[in-house]
Amino acid sequence: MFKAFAKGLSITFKHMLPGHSVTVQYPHVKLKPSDRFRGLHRLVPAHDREKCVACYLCPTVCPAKCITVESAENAKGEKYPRIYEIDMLRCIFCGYCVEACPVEALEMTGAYELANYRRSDFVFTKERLLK
Amino acid sequence: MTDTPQVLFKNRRPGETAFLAEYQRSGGYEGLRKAVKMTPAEVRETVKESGLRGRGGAGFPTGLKWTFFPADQLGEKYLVCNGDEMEPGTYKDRELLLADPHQLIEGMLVAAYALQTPVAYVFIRYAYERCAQNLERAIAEARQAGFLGRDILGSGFACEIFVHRSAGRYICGEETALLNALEGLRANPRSKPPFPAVRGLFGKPTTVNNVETLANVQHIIAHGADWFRGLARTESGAGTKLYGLSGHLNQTPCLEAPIGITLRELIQEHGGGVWQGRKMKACLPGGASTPFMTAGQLDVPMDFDTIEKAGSRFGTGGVTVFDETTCMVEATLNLNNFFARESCGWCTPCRDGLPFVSWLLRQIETGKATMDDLQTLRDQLRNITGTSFCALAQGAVGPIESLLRLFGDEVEDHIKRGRCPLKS
Amino acid sequence: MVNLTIDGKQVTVSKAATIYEAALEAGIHIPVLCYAKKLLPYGACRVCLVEVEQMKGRLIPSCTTPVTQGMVVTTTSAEINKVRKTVLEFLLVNHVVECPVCDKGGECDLQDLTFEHEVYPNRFTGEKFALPTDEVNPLIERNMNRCVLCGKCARVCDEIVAFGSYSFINRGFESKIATAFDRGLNCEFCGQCVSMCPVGAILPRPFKFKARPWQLKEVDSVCGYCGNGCTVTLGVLKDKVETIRFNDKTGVNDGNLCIRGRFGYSYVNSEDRLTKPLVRKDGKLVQTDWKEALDTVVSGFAKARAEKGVGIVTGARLTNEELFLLKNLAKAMGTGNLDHSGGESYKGVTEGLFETLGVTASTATFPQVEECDTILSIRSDFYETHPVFGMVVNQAVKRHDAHLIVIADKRGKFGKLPHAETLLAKPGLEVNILNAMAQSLLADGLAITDGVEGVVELQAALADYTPELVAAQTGVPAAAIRAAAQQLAKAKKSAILLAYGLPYTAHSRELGIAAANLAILTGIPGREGSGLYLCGEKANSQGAIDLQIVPGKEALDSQSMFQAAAAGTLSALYIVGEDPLTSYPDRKKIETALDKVPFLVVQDIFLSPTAQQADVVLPAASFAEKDGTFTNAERRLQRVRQGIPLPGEAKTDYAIFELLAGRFGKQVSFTGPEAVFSQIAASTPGYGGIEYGAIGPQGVVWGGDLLAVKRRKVVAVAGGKPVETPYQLITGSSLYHNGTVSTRATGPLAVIPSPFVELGREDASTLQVKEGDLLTLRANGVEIKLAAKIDTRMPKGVLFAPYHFSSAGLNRIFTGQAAVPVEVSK
Repeated sequence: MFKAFAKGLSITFKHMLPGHSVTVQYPHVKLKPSDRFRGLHRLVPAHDREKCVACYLCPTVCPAKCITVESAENAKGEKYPRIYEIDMLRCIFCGYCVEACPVEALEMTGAYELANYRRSDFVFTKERLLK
Repeated sequence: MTDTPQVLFKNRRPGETAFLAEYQRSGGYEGLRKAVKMTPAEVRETVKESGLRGRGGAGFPTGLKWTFFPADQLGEKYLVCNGDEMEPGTYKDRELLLADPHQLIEGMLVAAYALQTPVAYVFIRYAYERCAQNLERAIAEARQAGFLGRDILGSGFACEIFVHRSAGRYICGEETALLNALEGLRANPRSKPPFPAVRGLFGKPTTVNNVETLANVQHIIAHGADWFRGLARTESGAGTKLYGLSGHLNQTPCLEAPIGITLRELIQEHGGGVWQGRKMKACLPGGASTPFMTAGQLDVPMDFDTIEKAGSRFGTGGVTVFDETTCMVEATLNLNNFFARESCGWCTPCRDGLPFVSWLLRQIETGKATMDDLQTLRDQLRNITGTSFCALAQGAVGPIESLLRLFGDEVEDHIKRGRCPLKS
Repeated sequence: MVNLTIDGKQVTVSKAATIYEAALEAGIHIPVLCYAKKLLPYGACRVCLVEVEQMKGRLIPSCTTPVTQGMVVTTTSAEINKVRKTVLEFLLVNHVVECPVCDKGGECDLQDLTFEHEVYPNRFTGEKFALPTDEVNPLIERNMNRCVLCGKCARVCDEIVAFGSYSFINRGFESKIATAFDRGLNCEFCGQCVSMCPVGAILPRPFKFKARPWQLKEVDSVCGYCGNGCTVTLGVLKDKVETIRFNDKTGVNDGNLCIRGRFGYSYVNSEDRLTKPLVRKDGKLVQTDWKEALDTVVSGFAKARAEKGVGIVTGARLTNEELFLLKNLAKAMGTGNLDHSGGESYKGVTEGLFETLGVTASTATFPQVEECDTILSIRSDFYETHPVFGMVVNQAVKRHDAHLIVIADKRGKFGKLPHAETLLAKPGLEVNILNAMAQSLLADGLAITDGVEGVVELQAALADYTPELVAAQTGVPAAAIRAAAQQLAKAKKSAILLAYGLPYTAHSRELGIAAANLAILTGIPGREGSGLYLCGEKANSQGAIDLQIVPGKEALDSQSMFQAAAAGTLSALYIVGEDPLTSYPDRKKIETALDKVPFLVVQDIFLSPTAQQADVVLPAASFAEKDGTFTNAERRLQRVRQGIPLPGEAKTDYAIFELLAGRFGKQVSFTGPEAVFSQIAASTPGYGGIEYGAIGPQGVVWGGDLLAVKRRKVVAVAGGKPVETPYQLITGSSLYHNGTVSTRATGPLAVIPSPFVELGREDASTLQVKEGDLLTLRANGVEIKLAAKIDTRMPKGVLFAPYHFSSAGLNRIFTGQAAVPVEVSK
């Protein structure tokens, strides 16, 4: 009986030894999420512009209605998003927008530190999303 | 060799054209004289009895076609002669018009009388300038002689014939496209119904007949339906036919021979056999849009029904022979390129389907194709047949279908070897 | 009727129907690309193929094959689906798949079919098209790389618009749709091709990259321009009208629109719209609030009422409800001086038709014209004033071989139609020719005189109008006049068309009577399928007449009001939705009047030249911002619906009239247009029994398809006298514009950006002018300069200048005559 007791406790004590802790000392230490993690969006840039062609599929598919797109014609006569905004306060990170994108112009990064001080800072404009 | 009665080519001399004097010496305009003494209905009945079938390719009984025409109805009606001979391997109408243009004029007048059309048009291929000039001279002569114009031969019947030179397109040979072209529109086929006999040229009843068909009409009237039936060698056939030989032969004449003559006789006797002592591999019995026939089918009589039974079509009687060194895939590809280019661009299967078939054939010919491609080709033929707007695509598919049927091994050989087996 | 079976369903349809139409009726969906309801069957795309038991062995195109008794049709099977899929694969081989940037994405027939038939991946590969796009013009953009060659654009342009801008060129695989010589588009820009294109090959350029179709709110309304009353569907995005959507399910226009309807909406969104009331302080118009503005208006009118009175002039683009309230307001203000549209122009209806037929409206409806044997169009401008009704005429001529006769002073589009005949007369002599036609009918005993009053008097009065005498006057051969009269007399179904409007003030009563005389003598009124059409220039011209927006007894009409104001005998003018300074004849008179009148209130949507003279300017609403009803030129009542909110503080005319009436002590308490309409229905002859809620997508025609006339009385009218100067100027409407508001719309302005004077080649060479040169026109001691436009439609000595542009100053020399004698120099 004591033997079993000691065996159990030995496991407990083993976990107390350094190097066996699962707690991460955030924010000093940061975890790297998996590749499939759905974090902050990123607009993919092409040569001299964003890859996005403002087809309106992401705002259409978005269940939270947090994406605002306004298309326009640039100097070359191409369609581009004059406005591209995602309201992160409303976003549910479902990733439908990425799935809907026909030109792979939108992806989701591993960035998960999205806290901010002002509500307006949660609205990510095209310039911020392109970074 | 020429023991067969010459009807259409009886005035034919090398390099010469028979005009009015010569034409009348050999019994010209007798048919018309006889016709105007009959009632139009009697003329139509005689043509129907004669068993004359359209010589333009489809072989529709002419007499039957005429029964659809509202001949007794008053008002504008038109007779149109289809002289837009653009089928590769076919040149019989050219020879006919070069030799004896009055035959067509007389035939048209008899037909116009039978159908009671006051106006008739000859729609002639752009390249047949000499034929058109011959026709114009013949028309002028006929008018001078009182065969044409008002009150023809005192019968009270009036008819004018006009020659229209086509701008040159294969699709103009399709009767409704021809009517559009004649009206000055783009040569697209029209949807049927309504058929031209109901709503044709300028929206009025119209009959469209081939040059050779019309040239036969006055002979039928002059000599009778039974005589005409007796000219053919087969039971069901009637009359003689102009055959134009071409391809790998020692001689390539255009000749008149009875319906029902065998391919062997045409090729061996009239064509002098395959050139360079080679063997025949295949032939197109009636122009580029008819399926191939092989050397094994040489004894088939040349008639509409018999050739149809043999898996091809009589078509226009333009026989093109291929010798044993010919790559049938390449030959078919060449034919299909023609059809793809000449598609009017109206309906999708023909416009986009034929170039795709060409692409597939080229893949096969150059050895880049796979067995899947062959399957796709088979599939495409089914999709194009019976879905296109007019008969052009259907005709184009004919040779390809027979290529796969008759020369399947050769096609597969291309794919397996990755190159054309007939080329080293 | 024919019975047939489609997919096991028994269907009974008319003999003329095709299999596709029969299936549609039975609720069975057959996919199509090249089929369009209003076009002739075509059968090119081969997507609609079906199987017919009786025609085994091949597939039958359902859109071109007529039904036959006992037909057994199968619309879907593995075989059929395979063929359809193959067709789509073929189309997609070279179709540039750029749905993300194509504005058609979301409502593209090819996209839908590709989705429906799961054409993915494509078994075939091939080269994509790389044709140049046509973006030369600012209205219609063509990208032939997306074309599926259904031919709808070419067909609609030929069959309905009768312009023929497009055709197929090249053959086989290289076939494409192109214009003549494959140049940029240069046409009427009606945009019918845009509406018909099933893919994104032809798109409206003003809407380029603006929105996706599913984002748009669609609001069915009525076009605010001419009296044709075409239904339009506004495509609204974020409170802005972004486009006009294709809709062939409502109204009389079958989805047909002209450039004004399709591209002329943009004035609604204009930056120049009035958003706040303006009041003149120290000689300057300054923005103010409604309270001050209304106070000023009320005190001004109250003062004027006490002095020499108030006059009210309105335009005919107000809804029936607003006109009704305006009438009430006039009563409240105690004035009978109420008139619309310049007064003179509509007299052909209110006096001409009333004297002869006892009615004040067109006697039949537009669709009936399509079946007519003979159509008489008075003034070639008819196509230009009412293009979509003109398209009905095109179809009558092209599909039903109707005989079209045009009496005009210049050649026009109608004259180019097959078998159309133009009786080209010297300007201002239309009445003479109509008289001559009537004379010839009476003299030849072809006229219908049973039950017609005044025949003997007319016959006597027309002694001076024999075709020969008129021929000498007008230059139209007597034989042609006789032939035209006979043609009209022998027709079983015939129509007489006449447009009226501000630029056509001369002889308006006489023309109405002369046209009615001819109609009576050829038996038109009351005959099935026949009609006499007098079509108003503005969206609610007929409504204004029906609601009697005309001067009361012993009151002033609009011309007299301006005269009185100029003479100092009127103390205030209230001008609603009209710009008399630009559009009324005789600018000098209007200028003096506006200058002299002590108090001027203008209610409009723009600060028009007239509004700039005002003491108070009230910002009002456009057609897209209000609810109500319009009555079109064939008496069809249709619903106007609000699509967008009012700009700034602007108010609807409805609200303004209600407020003013309240201030004048006649507080009206209607709950909305519906309540007003029930009052209108109760008090307006012909409108009885019509309920606001019952005005459906097709509208309601008051008086029925065939209006019963009260009497048939022919009245003699005198014709005009020819102007004998070497050059004479006529004015009128241009096809691309309507009234003055279209000069604020970018669409029409893209085609006709500035005023011009049109003259024939012969005159141009005599005067040695080139296209675009400034021409000086001198008349009544006034000189105006206009850019020359040279073409073949003007006869020698006749010049034409449209009246829409304020800057042209055309009404400085045009004072209401049919033809202005002018001196022309370079």
